[in-house]
Amino acid sequence: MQKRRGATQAEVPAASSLRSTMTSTPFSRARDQLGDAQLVELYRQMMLIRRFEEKCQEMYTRAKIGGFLHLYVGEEATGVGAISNLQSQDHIFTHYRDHGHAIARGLNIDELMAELFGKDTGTSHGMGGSMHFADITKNFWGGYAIVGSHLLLAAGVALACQMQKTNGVVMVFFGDGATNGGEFYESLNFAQLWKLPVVFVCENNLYAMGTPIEVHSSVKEIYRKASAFDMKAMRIDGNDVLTVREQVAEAVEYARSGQGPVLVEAMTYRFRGHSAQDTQKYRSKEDVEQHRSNDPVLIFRKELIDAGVSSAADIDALDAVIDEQVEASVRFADESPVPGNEWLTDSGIYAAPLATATVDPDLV
Amino acid sequence: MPVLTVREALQQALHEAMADERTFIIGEDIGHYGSTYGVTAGFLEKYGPERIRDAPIAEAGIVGLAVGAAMAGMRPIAEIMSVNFSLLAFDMIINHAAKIYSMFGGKFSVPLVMRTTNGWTQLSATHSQTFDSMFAHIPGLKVVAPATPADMKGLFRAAMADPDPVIFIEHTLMYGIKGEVPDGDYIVPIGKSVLAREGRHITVVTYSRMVHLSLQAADILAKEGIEVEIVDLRTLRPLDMSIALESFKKTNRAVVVTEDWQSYGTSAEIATRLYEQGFDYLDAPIQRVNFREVPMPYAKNLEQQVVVTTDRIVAAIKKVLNRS
Amino acid sequence: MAEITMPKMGFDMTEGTIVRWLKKVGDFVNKGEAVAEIETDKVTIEIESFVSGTLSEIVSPAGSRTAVGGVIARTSDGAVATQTAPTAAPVAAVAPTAAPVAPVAAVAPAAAPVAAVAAGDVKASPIAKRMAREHGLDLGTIHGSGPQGRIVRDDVSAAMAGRPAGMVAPVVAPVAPVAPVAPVAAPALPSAAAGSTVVPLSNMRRTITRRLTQSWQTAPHFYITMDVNMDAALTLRKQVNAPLSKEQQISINDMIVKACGVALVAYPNLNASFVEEGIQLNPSINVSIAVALDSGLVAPVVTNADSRSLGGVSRESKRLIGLARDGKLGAENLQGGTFTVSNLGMYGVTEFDAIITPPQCAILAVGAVRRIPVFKGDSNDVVAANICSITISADHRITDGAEGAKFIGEIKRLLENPLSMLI
Repeated sequence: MQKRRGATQAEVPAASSLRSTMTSTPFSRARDQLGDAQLVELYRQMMLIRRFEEKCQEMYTRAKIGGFLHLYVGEEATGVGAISNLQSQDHIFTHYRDHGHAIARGLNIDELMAELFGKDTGTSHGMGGSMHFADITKNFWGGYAIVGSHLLLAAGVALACQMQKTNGVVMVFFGDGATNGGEFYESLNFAQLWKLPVVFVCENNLYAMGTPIEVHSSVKEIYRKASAFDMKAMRIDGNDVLTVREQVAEAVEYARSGQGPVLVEAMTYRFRGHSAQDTQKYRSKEDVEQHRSNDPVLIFRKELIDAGVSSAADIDALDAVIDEQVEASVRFADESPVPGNEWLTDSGIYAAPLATATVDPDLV
Repeated sequence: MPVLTVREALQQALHEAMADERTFIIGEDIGHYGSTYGVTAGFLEKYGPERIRDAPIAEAGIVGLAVGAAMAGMRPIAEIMSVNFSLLAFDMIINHAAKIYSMFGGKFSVPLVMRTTNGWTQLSATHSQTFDSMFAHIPGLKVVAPATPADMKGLFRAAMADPDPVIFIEHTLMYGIKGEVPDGDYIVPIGKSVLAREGRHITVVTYSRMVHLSLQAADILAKEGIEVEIVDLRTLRPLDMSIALESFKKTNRAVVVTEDWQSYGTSAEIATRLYEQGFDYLDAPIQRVNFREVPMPYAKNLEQQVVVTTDRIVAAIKKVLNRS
Repeated sequence: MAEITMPKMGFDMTEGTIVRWLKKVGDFVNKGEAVAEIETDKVTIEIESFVSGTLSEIVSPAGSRTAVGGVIARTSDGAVATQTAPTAAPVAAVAPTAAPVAPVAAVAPAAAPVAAVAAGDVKASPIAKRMAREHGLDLGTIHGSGPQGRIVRDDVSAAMAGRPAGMVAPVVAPVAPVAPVAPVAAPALPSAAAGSTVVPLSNMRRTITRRLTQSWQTAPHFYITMDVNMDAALTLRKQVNAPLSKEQQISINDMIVKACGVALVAYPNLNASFVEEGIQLNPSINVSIAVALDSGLVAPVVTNADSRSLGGVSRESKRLIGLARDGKLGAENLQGGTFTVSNLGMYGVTEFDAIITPPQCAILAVGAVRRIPVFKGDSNDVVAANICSITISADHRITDGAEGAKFIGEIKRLLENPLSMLI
C-alpha cells in the first residue's frame, strides 16, 4: 500500500482519547456553552427517537406499517449530536435508516408516523414510507435506499451551496457498509477536489446489514479511507451525544469556512436488527446485551440527573409527554386519509406532466 | 431562415441556457480538452471553470452531483460523453433522478438535463450501443431524441425549461447535419411528434438519425411510385403516437426504424402501440429495421451489416408493401 | 383434372345461377380469366378460374342453379393438377359442397354469419376483415393479393367497388348487423298441384322472399297515411326544370327522396336499425329507392340524401336507376340503405302499404299525384289541387305512432314548402 498521508492522520484523535480524563469534559463544556435547557432538549430528541421507534416496531408487528422497517435504536447519540450543530441554511441527506435524523432535524412526528402508515398526511404523501422521509422546509432532503448513492446527491447540493454562496453546509449520513462502493469514492473525490462544504458522517455500527466490518472492508478504520483524497477525517465516539456534538461542530465549521469536506467516523451500535425481520445470526445476544448496557440514551439521562441538570421527576414527566406525543402520532396516522389515485397518474410522477405521458389510461 | 448544423444549433441553445445564472455544465472533457464533439468548444473561455466544470471520469458523480444541484435550485446540464458510459450513472438516473419527485410525494423535483450521444464508427462493442429503450422505460424521466438542427435547439430549450429530468439524446454522426433553424424564440415541446414527410402508401415511424436515413429511403422509393410517410417521434417518453397512428390509419402499413437492438427495444414499444391502437387498420405485419442483435463488431465489413442502412429500410418497406 | 366450383359471393348466398359461359369446352383458360357470368341474389358478375387449363367439361349449363361449392366445370391439364391450393381455398372452405339446394327458408341467416366467415380459414388483414364486416362482404369470395393469399385492404376496396379485378364480387346483403331476432321458421309449404306449371324462383325472387318474409315476421309494422298538397312542389319543379335538358329533369320522386333525407335528420329513430343490443342510430342518411325491373325489384341507395342538393339527389337517382336497368349495380350501390322510398304513383296507385326493408326502420309508400277538388283554405270555395297520398310503414320496435305521425308530417311540410328543402 502507499504511504498514508500524514497530514490527515495527525488531525485525528485516537478513539481511546475521546473520553477525556481532563477536568474539562464534553459534558461540562456543553453545559457551559448551551445551558441546561439545551442539554435537556438533546435528551428529549434522543428519547423521542427511541420511543417513536419502539412504537414503530409495535405498529409494524400490528401490520400498520408495511415494507421494511430499519430502526435507529442505539445510534441516537450520533444523529442528535451531529445535527445539533446545523443551522437552518444547512442541509441533511441520510440513508434508509432515517427516522432518527428526521426527528433530530425537527420533522413533525405526526407526519412521520403517517408516512409510515402510508397516509396522505405523511411527509411524502405515503409515497416513500420508512426509508424516504423528507421535508425541504427543513432542508431535510430525505432518506435514500440505495447504499452510498446519496453521497453524490449531497455533494451536488453542496456544489449548489458553494455556487449560490449560501454559506450552507451539507451533512450526509451513511453506514460503514456504504464506504466500499464507487459512489463513496467518487463523492469524496469530487468534494475534496472542489472543496465542497460537506460533512460526511459515517455511522460505523460494525455491520453492513449483517456482514461484519472485518468481512466487508479491507480497512477497518473507515476514517482512514479519507486519506486517499487528502481529506480531513476524524473518528469519534458516536454513543456520547455531547462528544459527537463537540467533534462534529469542528467538522461543520471547517466545511463552512470553505476549507473543504470532512469525513467523520462515529463509532456506534445498532441495538436492533438491520430491519424488523432480521434474525441477527451474525452477532451474539451477549454482544447486543453488552452494548445495551451502555445505552447512550439512558447514560445521558443518568448524566443529566447526576449533574443536577434536571431532576428525575422532571425527566419522568418529560418522558411521559414524549409517550403521549408518540401515541398522538399514531392516532393522527390512523385517522388520516390514504393518498388518492392521482399518485398513479402522470401528475404523481412529473412536476410538469405531459398529456401524452400515459401509456394507456384504461390500463387493465 | 439560417441554415445551421446540429452542432451549431446545439451551441446556440447551450449559450442561451448559460444566460441563466443557475446553469452550469458538468462533464468529461467539456473544457480544457475543447469538447469531444466540439459542442462546448470555447465555453470554458467564455464562462470560466466555475460554470464549465471539467469533471473526473466518474459518470455516477457527474450525474449525481448534477441531480443534487438541481434539487437545490440550480439548472445543471450534465454531459455524458457517450451513452455507453451512462451505464455507470444508471443508479443516479433511474434510482434518483427519475424517482425523487414521486418518491418524496412531489415535494421537490430534479430539473436536470443530461446530454448524451448515441453513435458508432468502428468503435467496437462497448462504444457503439444505444440505450434509448432503457431510458424510455423509466417513469419519471423524459427522453428526447431530436433529428434536425431546429428540433435540437427547440427541444433543448424545452428541456431546460422543464422541471423534470430530461435525457437529451444526440448522435455522433449527426452533428454535421444541416437544416433550417428558425430565428428568434421558439420552443419545440417535449412529447410532440411531427410528420417528417407526407406519403400515402406506408408509414415509417422513427426518430433521431434514422429520420434522415428514412428520408433517403423515401427518395429512392418515390422513383418507384411508392410514397412513404415518415413520422419523427422526437420524444420517446412521453411517447406521442397520435401522428403515427393517424398516418397508420391512412396507410394501414408501417415500418419502424430504430437504431438499437430489436428485442425489447424502442421499436417493440412503437410497434405494439400501433398494434394495440391501430389493430383494425392493420393491413400487413409491421416490419422493424434495427441493429442486428450482436455486440458491435470492429471490422468494417461486419459493422456495416449490423447497422441500419438505407437499403435495409427500402427492403423492409417493400416487404411490407409486398413489392419486390 | 381440376374443378371450377360455384363461388360463395355473400355470407347468405347458398346457390348461384349460371347466366352464361364465357368459355366453351376446349378453350384454354388462364388463371384469373373470367370463365362464366353468374347471377347471385341481385347482381350478375363474372367469375374467374383459379387455375390455368383447358375447359374440358361444363357441368352446369347456362340457366342452371348450383349450390355454393358445387362443381360447375372441369379443366384438364396435367400441369395444373394442383389447382385447389391455395387460392381456391376460400371458396371451398366456406361452402357446404355437394349439399343439395336447400329450401330458402331453411337457410335464413344465422346470428352472425359474417363473423363466422371472417374468423374462419380465410386469411385477411385486420382492416380487410373490418371493412368486410362493415360492408357485409364475404371474405370467402374475395381474392387475396397479399403474401400467402392474404386478403388486404385494397382487395376489399376492389370488391366494394365491384371491380372485376381478381376473384372479386359485390354482394347483395343487408348491412350488418343482421336480423337481431331469429326469424320464425316458415311453415311447410304445400306441394305443387299435379299438372300445374311451376316456375322456379330466380335468385332475386328468392332474396325478396327471404328478406321480406323475415321483415314481415320480425318487424311489427304500423302504417300512417297523410295527404300532401303538391301544388307548390309541382310549381317549383316546373321552374327548376325549365332550363334543364330532358335527361336532367327533376322528378317528383327526387323531391320526395330529398324531403325524406331532410326529415330524417330531425327523426333519427326513423333512420335506425333494431339490433341485438338495442336501437342502432345510423350515422348516415342513405335512402334506398325501390326500382321495379322485369325480373323483380332492386333498391339502390342514394347515400347522404340529407346533404345532397336536390339536383344531386336527382343525378344520383338517375344514375342508379340506369345501372339497375342495365343489371350493373354493384354492391356499393345496394348496401347501407337506412330508409326506403317506394313509389307506385306511375301505376295510378292512390295509396298503398309497403313492407319494411330489413334492417331499416321505415319505408315510405308514395301514391300518384291526383288532381282533385278541395276546399280553399277555410272558405267553402272548391278549387283544384294536386294531392299525393304518402304512407309510412314503420317498425314498432323502434318507434311509435305519434313519432311516425310527426315524421310524416315533416315530410308533408317540406313538400308543401319546397323552398325550405333547398336551403
